[in-house]
Amino acid sequence: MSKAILMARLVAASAFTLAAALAADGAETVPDFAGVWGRNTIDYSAPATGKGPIQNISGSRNVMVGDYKDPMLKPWAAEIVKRNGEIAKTGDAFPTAHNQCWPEPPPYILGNQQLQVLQQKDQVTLMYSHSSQVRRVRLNGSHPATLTPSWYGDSIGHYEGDTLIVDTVGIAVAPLSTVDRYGTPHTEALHVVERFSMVEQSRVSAEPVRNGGFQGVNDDAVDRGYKGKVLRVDFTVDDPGTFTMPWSGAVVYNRAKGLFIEDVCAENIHDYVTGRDSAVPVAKTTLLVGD
Amino acid sequence: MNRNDHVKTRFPIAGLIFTAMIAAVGGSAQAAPSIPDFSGLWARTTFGYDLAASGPGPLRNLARRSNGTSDAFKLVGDYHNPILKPGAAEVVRQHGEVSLASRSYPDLSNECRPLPPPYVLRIAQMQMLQEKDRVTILYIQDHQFRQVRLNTSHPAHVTPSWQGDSVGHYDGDTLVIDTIGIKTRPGSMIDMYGTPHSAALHVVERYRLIDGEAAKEAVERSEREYGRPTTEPVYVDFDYKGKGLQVRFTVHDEGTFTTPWSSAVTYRRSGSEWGEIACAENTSAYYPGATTTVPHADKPDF
Repeated sequence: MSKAILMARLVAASAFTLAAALAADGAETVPDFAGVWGRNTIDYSAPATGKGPIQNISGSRNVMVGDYKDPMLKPWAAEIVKRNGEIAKTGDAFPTAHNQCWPEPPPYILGNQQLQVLQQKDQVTLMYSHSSQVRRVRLNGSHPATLTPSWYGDSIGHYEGDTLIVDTVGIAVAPLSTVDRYGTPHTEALHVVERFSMVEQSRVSAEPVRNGGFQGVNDDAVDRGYKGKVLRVDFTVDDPGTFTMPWSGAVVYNRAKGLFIEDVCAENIHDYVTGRDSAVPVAKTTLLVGD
Repeated sequence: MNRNDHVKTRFPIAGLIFTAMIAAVGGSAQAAPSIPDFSGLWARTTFGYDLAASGPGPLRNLARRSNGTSDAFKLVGDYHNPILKPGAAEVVRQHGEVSLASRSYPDLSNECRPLPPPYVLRIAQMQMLQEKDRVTILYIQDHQFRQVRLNTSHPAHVTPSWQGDSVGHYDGDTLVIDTIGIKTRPGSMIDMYGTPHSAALHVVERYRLIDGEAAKEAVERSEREYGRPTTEPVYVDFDYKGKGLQVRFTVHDEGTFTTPWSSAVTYRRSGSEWGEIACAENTSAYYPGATTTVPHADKPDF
């Protein structure tokens, strides 16, 4: 048999095999989120319709005074936001999960400057630059009937066309638990749904990337020359213990400039928002002494 | 831009079938080499490195229990080990004195810093995510991860970082990871005895699946030396009969050591789900068996 004939037969056979394999597996395609993604802000954008996130009422993007009169806040949550805002107005940073090196649950973790999405058949791994945080999303599974609360919660996901949908529950409540940069708290009822998709850059107008970064940051984490699609995450927050209604927001990641950064929380005392070094606790001796 | 520019097939096996058939027709093309499958969760029960049967090896704990095994609650590295240069030996000796006084010395692990290789091998649970051009290693402690670029070289100029610059390749059934560019700071260490390192640190790790029985023996040998931590969850599935994961590694650092030295650690299949260990909320020092008195402020900061 000549090579040409063999090739023709094998191509025909391979076409059958390819089709059969795809048919057997549903022939689905999934969006490709590969690469390093970057943001210059930690804000959430408001949705096109419906209730959006808490807004900054300070008049300065670097003074974190959340609108504690937002009607979606239950009184106890409003009081916390108000108290944090009063600290912020003095020029200090109030304690957050971010500046205290605690894990950041969704949606708060969307404020991280860089993101990598590692897609595998049964799992999506979300890697964030600040303090090398990692979230793990089981694909096509369900939440366990009994869930032990954890910092990042229990995340499951599935692809719906060109969108990855991640559903998270079971997020632990700690003293600095928060869902946004204003220190808005949450309860264990917190339920976050994120929708990851690739969008044309013309659709990112909601993201204030053109405003540059924070005061004090020699930044610009994004590649300004990149013309391709960008990664958008639309999310919905539902927590009847904290909010009177569900609310939504969005963030957009552009292609990051450079490699994935190594941002170690424990060695950084600079607060980007206030432009000051944090007054971190100090020891009187050089050694840690056991009891 | 076409929408499909950002869409990839979920099932690359179809493409592989096609590629393999074309390669078969071509006749001259080589079959794609298979690579080892490191998927799943892996776990260890000890923090230490295997002691060398011969040749230069890691430090041994001088503090022993009455039965001759390592005293897990006293970490006194053998500062007489000839691999140590004098300066490094002195650092190890000082750490040992602190530990003998039932205190904890500052450690990358108890100070919430990233752990570079090989010290990162102490972490009890890990997962390897293998991609075509990259291997990502996730560790349970403080959600650390390392990224290894495959089939490429280190940059000409490496900016030092906590976990260094790692490149790798498959050598038959073995993943070889080469790491340089690990930054130094006061307290930099490569083992639980606080052995320091210099900017010249160069670590080569070789990951390979081994038979279940061999893995079991290796883990039990390690436990005979180090014991099992008594206060930490044990992640290993002791009933699992399948393969284990062995990591042989060699440490080169002429600024710290008189000679390269080698050791190994062995993981077995984890029997529990992925855990979540947040360093910032943990004040328990496992080996001293006490809660660490972390640095504190005399007045609230906020």
